[in-house]
Amino acid sequence: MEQGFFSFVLDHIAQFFQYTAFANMTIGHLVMIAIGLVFIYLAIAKEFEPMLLLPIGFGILIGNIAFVPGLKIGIYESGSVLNYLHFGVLQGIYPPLIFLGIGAMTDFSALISNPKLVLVGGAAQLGIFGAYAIALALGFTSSEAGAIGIIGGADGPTAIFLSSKLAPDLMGAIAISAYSYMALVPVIQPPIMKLLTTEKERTIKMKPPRAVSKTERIMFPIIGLLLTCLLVPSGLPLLGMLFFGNLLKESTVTKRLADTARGPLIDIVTILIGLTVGASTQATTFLTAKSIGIFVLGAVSFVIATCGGVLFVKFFNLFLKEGNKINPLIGNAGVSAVPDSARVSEVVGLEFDKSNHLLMHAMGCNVAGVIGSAVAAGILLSFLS
Amino acid sequence: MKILRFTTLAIALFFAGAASAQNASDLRINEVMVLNDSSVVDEYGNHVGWIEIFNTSYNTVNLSGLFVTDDMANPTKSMIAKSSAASIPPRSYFILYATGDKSVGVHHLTFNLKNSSMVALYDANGRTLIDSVSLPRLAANASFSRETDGGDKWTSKNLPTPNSSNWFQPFVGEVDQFKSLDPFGAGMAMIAMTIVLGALATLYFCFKIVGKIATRQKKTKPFIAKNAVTGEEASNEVNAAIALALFLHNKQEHDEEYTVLTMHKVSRNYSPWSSKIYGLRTRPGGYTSC
Repeated sequence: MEQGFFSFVLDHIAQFFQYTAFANMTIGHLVMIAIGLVFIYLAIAKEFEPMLLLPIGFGILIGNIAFVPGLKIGIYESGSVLNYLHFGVLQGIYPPLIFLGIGAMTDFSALISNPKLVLVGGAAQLGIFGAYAIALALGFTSSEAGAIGIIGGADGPTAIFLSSKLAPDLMGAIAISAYSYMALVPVIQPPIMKLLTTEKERTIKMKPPRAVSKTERIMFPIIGLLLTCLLVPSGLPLLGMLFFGNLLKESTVTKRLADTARGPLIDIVTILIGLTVGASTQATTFLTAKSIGIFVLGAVSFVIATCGGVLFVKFFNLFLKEGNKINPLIGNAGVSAVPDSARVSEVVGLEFDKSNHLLMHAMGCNVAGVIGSAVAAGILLSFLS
Repeated sequence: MKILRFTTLAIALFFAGAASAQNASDLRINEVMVLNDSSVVDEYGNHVGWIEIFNTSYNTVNLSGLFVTDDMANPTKSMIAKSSAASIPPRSYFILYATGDKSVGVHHLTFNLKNSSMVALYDANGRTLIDSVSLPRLAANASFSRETDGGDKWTSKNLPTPNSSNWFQPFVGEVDQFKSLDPFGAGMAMIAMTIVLGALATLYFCFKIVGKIATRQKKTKPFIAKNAVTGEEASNEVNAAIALALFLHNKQEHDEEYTVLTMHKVSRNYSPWSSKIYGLRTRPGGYTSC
């Protein structure tokens, strides 16, 4: 009797063990958990994009706890809670909501006061199409290459939005790559900026931005929407929400709505998007040769984008009068990693002239980059979907 | 009379049998895939090797009871189950999945093709060979097929065409055309960068004009506040107050900023001349009231 009871207990303990993550763990899961821990470390200890890297890092841990399939636990299992939350990523719902919040946060005054900076935001999108070309050469399909190229826009929500439409299988790798390199902007960009500029160019002092009237600030989102979306309607989900959020802010009559968009709403969506994108990196689907290729291409696209922005400013300066010239150190801010790349411009500028503050000018390029990358995403979507 | 009846019946049965045999003989092995990783899946979602049978005739043919084998020494290796579902309409196709499982349905064979070097289709009697084909070594997801449906020439194809004409040209979508016409992405880069810069340049010109109008208005229209007091009416006290306000504004000493009112503590150095203690009324000592 006693022996029967003990064997019953042992059998059930053994059976329970089969359901634990220890029994189902693979090397891939362990690798992904290590990557998740690195993300969490970078977010907390180094404060690299903590709002994004922390949810993503923790999401990676959640997504890589191994389990027995069929229990409606995993993010890819139909009917699981994580699967429902992931729906917003797969269908491209979260990115436009984030753009609404970004619009409600962003002050376009720097751009309105010096509108030529908008062109720098366009030039930096070269990174997207450079990476697209290289991805094609490496054997990716056109749709995959387009989704990978958007990493060069340095815009997480745009990258998620486009990859969910063009290459849903690669979305996890693309999102992780985009956010990783956005966090590494202070490491990647300064050497390139210094390499491509002369001592004299780095100390160019730009005119302080003029005061922008309320009417101009209200007109900007309306005209911006009409001009960009009439040309590229496929950018509507992102640009429409961006400019709508900005109008909520600038009109000053919808303060409560603007506060919600730039506060609780964007916070909730950031949590959901970060966690589910992280959890979507399940080792079984994430650890492939393609993912490694995407990481390499992501770095390349950031380098090309930075070069594109800086070199464009140098080229543009050839046509500008003395006194109106642009400091090429703000060219890097044409990528839409707001406000990190603008901060990099400020820091590098101060290294060479303690009195030369470039932050406000760089912010102009930075917000132009947000518009530029959304337009580029719209173009890729219309050509490749 | 009996002899006549018997002869008529025999002739009728002969033609009926001949017709049936003629129907089965119209079938052809049309396409074969040995290693299937990403081609069609069976009704259970499995990727397995498959054999496509084509009905060359203009009649419906039922495959029930026919045999398929990959071993000429064993022609009855796998029988197609008797079922109305085993019919092929005229000029149509029937896929047999080499599952290796006996009990999964009419579309399934009892062997798999992993080690097969040939396949053959036998009539229901198990002796009459209808069609056979020797298989070359095939890569995964490649098929060996007739160039045209029921035709004589065979070829290996990287783009298999199960359940459709072997002449079928795979649909080349706009995206694939884009890649074939622009294999290095240079065209895409040129077109897209032109559009991006064009859109942003339009925005630039628009706001350049808006900015010019705004700055011109500022220069031409001085700001006059509501209920403002004009110079002629202003008294000296009002002028002094305006001058003080402008002075404080220019020295950045105003404390109201963007509707947020901040209050600063005013610090004063101690001086006995301004000390309250000397200003208090004290009761005079030594004096008594009357």
